[in-house]
Amino acid sequence: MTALAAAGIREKCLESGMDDYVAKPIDVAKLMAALDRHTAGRASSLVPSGKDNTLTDTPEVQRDAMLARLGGDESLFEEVVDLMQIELPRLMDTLREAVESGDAFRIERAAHTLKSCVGHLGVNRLQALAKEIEYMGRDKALAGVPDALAELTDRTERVLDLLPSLSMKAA
Amino acid sequence: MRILIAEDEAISRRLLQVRLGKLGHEVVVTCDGDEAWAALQAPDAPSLAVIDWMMPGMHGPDVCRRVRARADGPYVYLILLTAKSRPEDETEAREAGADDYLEKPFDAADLERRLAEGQRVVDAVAGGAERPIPARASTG
Repeated sequence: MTALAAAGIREKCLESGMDDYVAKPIDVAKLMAALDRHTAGRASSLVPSGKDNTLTDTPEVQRDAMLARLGGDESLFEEVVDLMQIELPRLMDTLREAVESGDAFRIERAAHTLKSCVGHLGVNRLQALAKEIEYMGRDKALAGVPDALAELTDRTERVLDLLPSLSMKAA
Repeated sequence: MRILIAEDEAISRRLLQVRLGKLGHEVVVTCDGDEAWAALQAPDAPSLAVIDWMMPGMHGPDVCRRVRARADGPYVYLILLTAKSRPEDETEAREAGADDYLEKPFDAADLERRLAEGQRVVDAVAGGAERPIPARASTG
């Protein structure tokens, strides 16, 4: 990246061994296009769409997205769905216990691990809620925790109801 | 090659184990920082490690610092994994001595590229090359 957008700079960059050239100030579209050129189009697919995808309406679509993230490995997918049904309730219990204890550090840690776990599902809202609680713990500002936990509990239960239907074994 | 993984979250741990196994690596699995540090002190310790940031016991950067504090110890290429995403985290990772820094959820192909880079460095050091000094954040 360079703030020198003058003519000839691009050639100089490429000559000196750079693979590509993006002028500053950064135009996100141009930067993504440059990244896509060198990652076979994967870069822009990593940018969150901002959509609150949920498992509720389209388990098939969700399954396809999860499977794609696992490189199409179906046996690994089955294993993740099985593990998720064990880990998600366990991590929620740990988080609830941490919240009951009022210990900000425990809350931060429990929410952090939960955030990592639900990250595998690709359900943005779940991950965002876990992250909110993690940061409330980190900042020792626990006033919003009960509301966030209530929504997280509700959404987690819905996901747990749907998880078995994602499994190919059920199909 | 032998690769150590340290990850407390069960699904991430399993995914790493399966991915690395499929790439033909022998995986040493640990579930927290203390176990990872113990495994890195073993006589047959792996020379490449993928270590999660926030774990029970020692955190990832602490493990990195301990590895780098061993002046005469065996060389280890360190990749820190993190679900944290604050800009200052990468600086802390580098200062702790990590060679690379990868945010979760990561792309399998990206992990593969970074492992290949790690393997290149490990092979070079084994062949007598000077140990790379992890990039430090600028203090100026």
